[in-house]
Amino acid sequence: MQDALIVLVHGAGIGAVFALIGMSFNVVFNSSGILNFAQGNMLVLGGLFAFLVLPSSPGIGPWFVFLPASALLMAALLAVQGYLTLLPLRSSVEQHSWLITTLAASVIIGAVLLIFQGTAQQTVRSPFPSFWFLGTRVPAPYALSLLLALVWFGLLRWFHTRALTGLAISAIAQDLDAARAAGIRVHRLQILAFAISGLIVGSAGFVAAPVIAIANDSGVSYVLHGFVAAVIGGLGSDLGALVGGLLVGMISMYAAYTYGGEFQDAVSLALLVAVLMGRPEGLFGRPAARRV
Amino acid sequence: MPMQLRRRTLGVRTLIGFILCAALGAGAQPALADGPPLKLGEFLDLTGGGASAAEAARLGVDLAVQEINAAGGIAGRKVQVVTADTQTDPTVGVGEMTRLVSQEKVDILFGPVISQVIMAALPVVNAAKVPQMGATGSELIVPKIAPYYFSLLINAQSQASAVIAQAVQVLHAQSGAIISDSGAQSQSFVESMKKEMATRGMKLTGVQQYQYRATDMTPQLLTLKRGNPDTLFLFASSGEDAGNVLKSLDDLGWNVKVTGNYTVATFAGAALKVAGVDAFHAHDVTGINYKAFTYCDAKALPKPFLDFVAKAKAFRPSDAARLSLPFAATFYDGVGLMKQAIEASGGKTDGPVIAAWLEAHAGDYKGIIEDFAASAQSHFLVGPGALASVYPDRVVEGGLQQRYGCGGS
Amino acid sequence: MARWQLVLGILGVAISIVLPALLGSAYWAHNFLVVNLFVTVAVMQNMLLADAGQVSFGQGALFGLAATTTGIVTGLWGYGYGAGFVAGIAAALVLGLLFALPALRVQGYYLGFVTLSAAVVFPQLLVAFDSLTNGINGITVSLPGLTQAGRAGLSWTSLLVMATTIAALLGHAALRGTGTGRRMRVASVSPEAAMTLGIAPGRLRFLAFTLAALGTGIAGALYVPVLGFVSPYAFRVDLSIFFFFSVIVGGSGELAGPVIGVWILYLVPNAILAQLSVYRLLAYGMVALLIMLAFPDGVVGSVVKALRRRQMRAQIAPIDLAAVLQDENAQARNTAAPTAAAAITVQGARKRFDRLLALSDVDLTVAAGRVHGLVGPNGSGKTTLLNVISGLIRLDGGEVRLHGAVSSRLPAHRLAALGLGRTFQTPRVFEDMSIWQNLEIGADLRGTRNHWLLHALQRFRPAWTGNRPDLLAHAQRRVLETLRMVATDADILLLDEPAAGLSAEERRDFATLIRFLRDRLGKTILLVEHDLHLVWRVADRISVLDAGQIVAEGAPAEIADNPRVRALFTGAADAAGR
Repeated sequence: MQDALIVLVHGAGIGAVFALIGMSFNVVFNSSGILNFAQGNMLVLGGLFAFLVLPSSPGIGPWFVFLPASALLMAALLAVQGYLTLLPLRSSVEQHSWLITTLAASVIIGAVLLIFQGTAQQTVRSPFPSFWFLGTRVPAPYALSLLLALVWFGLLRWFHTRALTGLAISAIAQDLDAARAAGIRVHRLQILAFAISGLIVGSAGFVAAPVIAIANDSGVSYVLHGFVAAVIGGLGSDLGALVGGLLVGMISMYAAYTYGGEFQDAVSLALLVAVLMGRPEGLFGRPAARRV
Repeated sequence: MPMQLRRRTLGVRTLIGFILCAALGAGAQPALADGPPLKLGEFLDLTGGGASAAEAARLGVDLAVQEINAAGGIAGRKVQVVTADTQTDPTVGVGEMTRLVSQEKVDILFGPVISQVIMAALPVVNAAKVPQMGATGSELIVPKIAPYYFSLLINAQSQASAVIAQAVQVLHAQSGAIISDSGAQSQSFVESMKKEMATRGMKLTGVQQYQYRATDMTPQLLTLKRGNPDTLFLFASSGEDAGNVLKSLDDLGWNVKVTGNYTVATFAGAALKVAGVDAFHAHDVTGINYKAFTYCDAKALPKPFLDFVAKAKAFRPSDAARLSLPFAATFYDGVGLMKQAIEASGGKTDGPVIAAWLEAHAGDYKGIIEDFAASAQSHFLVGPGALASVYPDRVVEGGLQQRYGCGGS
Repeated sequence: MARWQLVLGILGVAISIVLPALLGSAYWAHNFLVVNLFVTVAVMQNMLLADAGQVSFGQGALFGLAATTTGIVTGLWGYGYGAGFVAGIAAALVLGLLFALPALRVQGYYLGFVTLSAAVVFPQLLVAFDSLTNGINGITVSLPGLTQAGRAGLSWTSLLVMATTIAALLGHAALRGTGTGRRMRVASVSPEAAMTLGIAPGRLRFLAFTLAALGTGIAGALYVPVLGFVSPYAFRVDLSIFFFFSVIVGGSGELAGPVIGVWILYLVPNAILAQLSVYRLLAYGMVALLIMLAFPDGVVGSVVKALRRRQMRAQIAPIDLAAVLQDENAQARNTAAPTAAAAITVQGARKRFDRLLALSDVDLTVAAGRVHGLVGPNGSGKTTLLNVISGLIRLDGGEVRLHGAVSSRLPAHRLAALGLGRTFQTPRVFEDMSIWQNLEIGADLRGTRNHWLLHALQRFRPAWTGNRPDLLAHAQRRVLETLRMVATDADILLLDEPAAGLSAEERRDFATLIRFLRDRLGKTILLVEHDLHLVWRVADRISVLDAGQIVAEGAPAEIADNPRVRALFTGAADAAGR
């Protein structure tokens, strides 16, 4: 029982990171139907930023200064990526070119990391001490990631239901042609959505830096888990991403505990398949309106 | 329609004929007689799972080649390096090996560092009879199926017996649990460990895996903790992974003694960064290393290795700062050994000739590593005798580690 | 267009295998054997994605399973390669059928994720079940009889690979010419429209996955002699992604696309950029990015589009309704149909979507051989009612009868086979097919091309065979969709807002067409329409639907003064004046 609690606490910690990636997917997906494959490496870049700017035993002051800096930097980078991704898509929405362009962006980031730092994995120390909770020492970044996930969940909720720009993005999500006809500048808003997803992964990567693998080839695993979280929760639903992320984190940790690490992926993917077969739109997704 | 197709095929045949003639004409130039360069193929897993070791290997080979060329080459021939990246993928590996032996026509080969890659490429190398030195641990690669291939890595069984000797003789452990990553090298080590533990009568309380680059191994460790082993055997493929295992142990507050493998020793720098030196003390972590890369008395450090470190730092400072220099030194030695084999065989680079020489004389070679050995039965150039248990955290210049039992804490 | 692609593709395959063998370049010979195996898999993926509309990110697992099974049977169990080959294909077929099961439930990228999961887990399972698969150590299979170079430097393996790849290309092209292939494409573009044409999408998905598994399995079984070694490392999830991306980079749906896609994605990083080592990935990423920026529809796709745009300038023959209306063969199929009987009977129909009650106790009777108008404000449930009648939506309560027989439990494609046809608000015209094929797909339902409509339009055939419907104006697409329905010989026609987007003149023509369908062909027509003037001109009877209930019903003249109807008229006038 005690063991299970420890496993679940750690699972929730890493799950919060998956949830953050899931939410960053949603922002882009809602505005353009694009799933950004580069999001995992973007998270790693946020972590790398923390490694580069924070000293080996960082104080709390610089941490608070550099957190928004990381978010803004990644927002700018993602805006550029968004611009490039959407560039060839103008001619038609039926194209799959974004699959390649977002993956290419991911490959390029990984390749640049490989060239500059080889296959080394960077280590970041958190300025906040670990704390004891339910009989286990919990690294502070786990708790901070969970907090950050909740903050972003609240902010996104407000943005999509209250802010004018957010409402416009919601309109795009519902009916692109209608939104266009209503004079919404779709392209600009889609790039903005990329930038917002950058704010999310930039801050997430920075906060979670001490507990994620900051290396040239670790992004793929994060992108996959983020996808699974978002799809289980229901693509487009932030509540879904939040719940899905925590669920995936806890279940994959629990699978490692009960079945062994080699079945970690198999179990979380089995969960994905089970959810999709039972409820294709995900736990909190709305069934796609049938357009006949 | 069939007529049309047939006519087109005829056209193609003519076209091929033309190209064929042109190509033959181009290829018919006489070869240069005086001292063609000796081509060295680097067949390395530069991207993918084997990358960090492969990069170190490349550093060692490149440095050795630069020195050899400055001193007049091998048997009077300048050495020319051709690099191939296997991407740690057997399919790509076979293609790249074919390129090296049939396109580039290399004379000697170094690499890979992943067993599966060389297993896939063996038919190609065997047909070309090119002598080769890699760093693979799989015991399946025996002279019978790989007659011209030698491994610079301690094989899994030697490592296992050294690790267990440490646990039994020093820690007086009667039971142990194994944690490793799910990669290939680690899994073959786990197999050897199981066998070795059985023969030594040691109780195995549990085996767990984590994925390469995992950051939180608490669930696996919790499971192992239930078996209450005397020691935890750790087989990592990267220093960071090893560090994260130690960190997870601390998170659980489980004070078990950790007996690590070669990676835990040789990539200790990264592990220290992740877990901190206290974790190494708390768990009395030991690792296995080549004796040549260890010391006992800090005032009497082994000179050959320190010389190599100095040269490597001058050669490629940024690589030398981040890569495992002992691993690089192993390959540096490999090139030296290959040079000696070729020169002693009258400049021949045929696989059978070189293999026969290495089987008979590798033990005579004194490089940075002094205890080379090989035989017609085993092509592992480094045997268990060349190994020592070390304190991974007691590191001096270039990554030299203090042998277990030497000096105070 | 398709023909030269096929020829180029086959030439590419043949030359890439024969030329290196003739030149004696072992390196290129080996590379192109691997490339052509991958091309075979990509061709299957192309068929699956473009023709059947199925997103699978797991084809690498099929390939790997076939290869591993062949390896186990041949290398570990010691049976001959023939037995391994068959076993490998059988294993791939089983997994292919497993992939098809979720396709009945989920579609699009969701299906992609399910299959992706299989691809991620597959190599891990190979390691976990090492007692069977030899795990990480892999299986060495030596087949000298197959791999030894024979005449002209070609080994049996290279001949087999060449034959397989060419057969895959030819098979893909041939499938497109068959009725099954056409139905597959229809079902992929619009499963709803397909069902109303009598096509069962689920069955076609199974067929597509099985065909793809067959081709992929053969390629996987051939991987064994090509490589001589099978290990889990070779079948990581990257391989599945690679196959999918090859299709996209080459141009989804283009016959020669997979050839170009695989050449670019495999040869650029592994052969052309091989010497760059650590810079290889960077160069690869940049090349992929730039190609997609320059060719958003894939290399072949973008070239084809550009060429087509040029040719398009040539005028195409518009659909001439007069030719149809004046055809003397246009006769009612079943003149003996009793006009008084009810063709459609809806009783107590109820349907709820979450909180919205779309239909509440709707009763409706449509007499055979009559035009029945169904009007009402937006969101009143008109389209839902059409969907219910055509079997696209299941009722929560109540029932529908066609010609007296209960139909509300039958799937849409069965209803279509029983003679129910329908059109959609936005015309469901299949863009990937020629205009003529769009008509033929209707006649396909009856299993014969011998239809008076096709004869009546025969003189347009040459112009329409080479041209795609994206050239047609909206009204023409509407007519095309309607004629396609006529070609199915359906006797009950459901029209969903056919006049939307038509000019006044086009509406008059369409009204003529509706009358022609009723008077000459004896069809029963249920017409949902916002243009009330049109409805009042052609309908024999009219029902008014509001908030899921029938609020008025009667002959046009009878109910014109009904206040609900008056409100509708003013609403329509407001909308028109906006």
